[in-house]
Amino acid sequence: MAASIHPWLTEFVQRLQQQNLPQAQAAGGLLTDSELFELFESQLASRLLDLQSRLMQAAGQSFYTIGSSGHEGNAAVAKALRVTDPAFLHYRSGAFFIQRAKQLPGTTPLYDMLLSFAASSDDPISGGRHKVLGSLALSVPPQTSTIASHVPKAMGTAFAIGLSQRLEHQGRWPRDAIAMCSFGDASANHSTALGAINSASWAAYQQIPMPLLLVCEDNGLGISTHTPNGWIQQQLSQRPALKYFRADGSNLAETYLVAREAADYVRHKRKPAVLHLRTVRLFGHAGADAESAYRSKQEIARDAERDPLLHSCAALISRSLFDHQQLADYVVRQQQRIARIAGQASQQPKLESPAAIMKAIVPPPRQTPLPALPGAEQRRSLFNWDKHNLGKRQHLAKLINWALHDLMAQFGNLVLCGEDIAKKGGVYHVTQHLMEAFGPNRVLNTVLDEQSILGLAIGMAQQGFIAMPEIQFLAYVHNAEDQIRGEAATLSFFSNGQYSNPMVIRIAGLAYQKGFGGHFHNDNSFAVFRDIPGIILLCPSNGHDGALLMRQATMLAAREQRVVVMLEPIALYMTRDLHQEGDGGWLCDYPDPDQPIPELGEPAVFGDGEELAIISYGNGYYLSRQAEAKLAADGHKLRVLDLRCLVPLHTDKIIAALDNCKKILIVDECRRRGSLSEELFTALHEARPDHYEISRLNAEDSFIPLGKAAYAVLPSADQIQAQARKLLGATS
Amino acid sequence: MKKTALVVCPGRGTYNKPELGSISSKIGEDSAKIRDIMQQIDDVRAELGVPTVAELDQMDLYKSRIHQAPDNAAALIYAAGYTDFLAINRDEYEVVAITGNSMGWYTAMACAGCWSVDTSTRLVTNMAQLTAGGEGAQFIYPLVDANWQPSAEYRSRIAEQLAAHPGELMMSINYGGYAVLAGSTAACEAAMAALPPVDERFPLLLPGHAAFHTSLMSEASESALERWPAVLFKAPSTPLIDGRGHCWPSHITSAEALHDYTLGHQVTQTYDFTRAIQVAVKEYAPDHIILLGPGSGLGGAVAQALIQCNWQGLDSKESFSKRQQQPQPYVLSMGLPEQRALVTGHDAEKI
Repeated sequence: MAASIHPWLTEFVQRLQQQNLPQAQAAGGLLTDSELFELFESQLASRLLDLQSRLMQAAGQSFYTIGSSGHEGNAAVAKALRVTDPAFLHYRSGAFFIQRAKQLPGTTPLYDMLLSFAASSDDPISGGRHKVLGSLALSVPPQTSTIASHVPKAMGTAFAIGLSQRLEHQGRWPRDAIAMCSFGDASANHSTALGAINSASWAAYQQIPMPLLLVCEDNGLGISTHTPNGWIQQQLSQRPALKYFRADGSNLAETYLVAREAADYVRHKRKPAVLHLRTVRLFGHAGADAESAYRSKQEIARDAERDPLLHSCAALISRSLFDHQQLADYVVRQQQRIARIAGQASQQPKLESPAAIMKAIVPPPRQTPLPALPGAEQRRSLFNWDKHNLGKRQHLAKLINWALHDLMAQFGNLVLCGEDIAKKGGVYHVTQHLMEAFGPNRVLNTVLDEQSILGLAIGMAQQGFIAMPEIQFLAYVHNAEDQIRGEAATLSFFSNGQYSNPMVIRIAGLAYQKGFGGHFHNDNSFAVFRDIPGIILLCPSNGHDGALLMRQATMLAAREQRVVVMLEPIALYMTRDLHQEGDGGWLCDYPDPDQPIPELGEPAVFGDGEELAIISYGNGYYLSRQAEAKLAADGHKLRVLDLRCLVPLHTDKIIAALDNCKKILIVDECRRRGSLSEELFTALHEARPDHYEISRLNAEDSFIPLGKAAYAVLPSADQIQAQARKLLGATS
Repeated sequence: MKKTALVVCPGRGTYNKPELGSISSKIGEDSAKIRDIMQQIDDVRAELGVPTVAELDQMDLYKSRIHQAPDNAAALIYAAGYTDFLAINRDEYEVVAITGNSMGWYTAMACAGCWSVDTSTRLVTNMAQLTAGGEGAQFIYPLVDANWQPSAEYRSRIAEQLAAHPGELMMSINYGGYAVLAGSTAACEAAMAALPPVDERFPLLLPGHAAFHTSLMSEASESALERWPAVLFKAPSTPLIDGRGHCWPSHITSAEALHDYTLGHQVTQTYDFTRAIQVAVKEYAPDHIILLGPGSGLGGAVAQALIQCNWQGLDSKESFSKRQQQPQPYVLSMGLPEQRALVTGHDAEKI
């Protein structure tokens, strides 16, 4: 393989030898000879890596050929930035990555990238899990996004860098850093990118620091679809508080000059800017793409003439740094070097066992001790605003609110963000008074865009905060789920546990709001979270557990760097009574801050009967408790399990809590199809085949209608009772 | 097709009693060009009023006072390394990168043509004088066990001593399986007394060495920066990997940057030889590593650096030794006659 040369390179070398280069662009005195050569070297290495990856793929040694060819001008963007500026790179940023590595002696970008091509477990960033550009030391978190889903977190990181300064917080990246994010012209149309760009503008428009450099590398094509002429400029140059810069990516000196200007603007003004870098795309979208099927020969030839490498070669020769033959020889030697490194990299070990692959799904726990609990005096002052309620039993919303007060006092790096959570205290007052207690920098009202809220959280978490975003209603998370599924949850996996984004995503959800809202405020499906490896979903049904689980979620984020979802049942937020009006049966005492937290996955168990066990959570648990009382009055001895941890299910702990119960009623307020009940049913049966007699009661496979009609499709206490009696009857 | 090679230049302490006469005897094996270079080196030495390399190398007896005098030792090591480099059979080997350990960096730069012979000879001599005038001492302690596996215990002992003498004791060189520590004489003495002995040899004081590659060399660095202007520095003809693991490309490089590193950072900061070797093999993937003389002491440290990153599956002293037993060993030491013969193309028996 080492002897193979890609046909394009053969032609390129011939072209050099034949002295057939474009006219050198004027460069002024901007780049010294050694700087020009250093950038060219990065460009050339990137191109040769692209070609090598295609040769490796043909030999079955590489698996992903999308490359940077035509985009190598981005090396000059790297040169304009610092190694401590976090860079969220799209997949055509090979030259940027190589150039950045030159800012940190001792790095080995060529070998590392080839390990990544070869999917070797030695790949220092992903450990063989993906072909990504990334490095901990180089401040390049790995991105797998092909559709600009990394732009929200870049925006979030930029915001978080400013926030670190305001809160005097020691973040991962220094306070004068700027976040950089590159994406293509086609991705610039994606709602995710647009939402994040809008959010950056929205913040900057209000003078909120947003040191974000967006780099749109515009090659005029999204796979086969042409970007209309002038579209990117029109689209990106007219946004509020977003400064627009433009450069020709084939011209290194111009790109460096403009990139430096743009970076200086962002760094010093702490405002966002977009650098529109005109590039070309060479060799098609990826290895398998035959662009001649949708582009004319003339078009392809025109782009080939704008190849940044040709122009950089012309610049080197115009300065008499090389003659044509010397440069051709140099290129060949570099190709041989890359081929040799590829030969080594492709022999390195691969991931083989599920255990090795999955090891990085969850990041390693942090070893630093947790901050101390707030002291008595601090708590007295903290809770003074609500003193008339202290010592009294409270509902779920209030106890979560109190827990948040304690947690924010304990964790100085815990920051809340979401729609209407600040002064209003959230639409259900769960975040009431937190802004007054901890200031507007720790309780942030956001723009109405869930992708941006979650991107903000990821960015904050990567900067070293514990992010606690709130999604106002469960239904709203569905338009932004990829920020959790594709981004937050995968970060540890694709960085081999080196990067993490610990966060607690609070989501108000589930159904049973008395007559209010219809489907979008009563969404009863969280299936979206159930198959995401690594994430944890907790769901309290009462205030006591609300406080404990909120603490547990925060500890899991702080200590184990986990992504935790806290699903809070809206209908139970203010519920006070259990069996009859005024009984206060669903009010709880606030657990002391030092009260032990239940083991993760351990269900709460009510009763110790063995005739029948009801397994449920959230509203279903509340209704099951009502049903249980009636069954108990008839002399039945039941137990009711509140799962509390819904993802992942801890089957062993559930089975232990069932003890001798064989008859099981699963009450799941979510839909029969796709709900947790399916997994639970299967898990119990798999664990103890034919041991249990299991029955399910679910919501109908319907959306939730408005008004009282909602109850027609949701399980009721009466239905639970009836189905339980049926199961109980089967014994006699 | 030529075999590709990384060339590694040794540092101080490699020309000892067994090496006496080795330079002169090896010159016999090769070309007029090497004789000419040796003559140039010795002309400069004579002009400087210091013993010539030929005189030193051809003395009847090895005398520590003479041969270990800093500028004599440096000149011997530089001349031995440089002449070895010139003896590499270029019909067989393409040198794709050069690196070195400690003062071996100067030899590496000379090999890569960054200086004229005149400049490199003067600079090597002068730097030895300047740094020898600096204060402090230097000693070695192991980081690996007998099978060249990392020892957490040894590492923590070293960390403990570094923490006990902040600003007074520093990591001087990361040298494969060894830590070379340096600092004030008092700190070195205290640390050596505190470190439990290993293999009856360590901690091992390096006689005649000052606190190289530490902040105690700041004055020497400042004098050198003043004395040796950047204009004397040229881009290397072959890529160089320095003591940070930074790659200097061939053809065009910033003379100012190379000057600043060589006489600044390189003199006053930790020299990471381990990293340099690891970067060199990863970024240039040579078929072989050629170790220049004098002596063959570099081999262990190079092998330990390779084992540390599991290069080509090397994971122990044993696996390295096995690999070396192949007809064409991976690491070719020019201080070992049989391996030298493979590098120079000259019959071992004639040497």
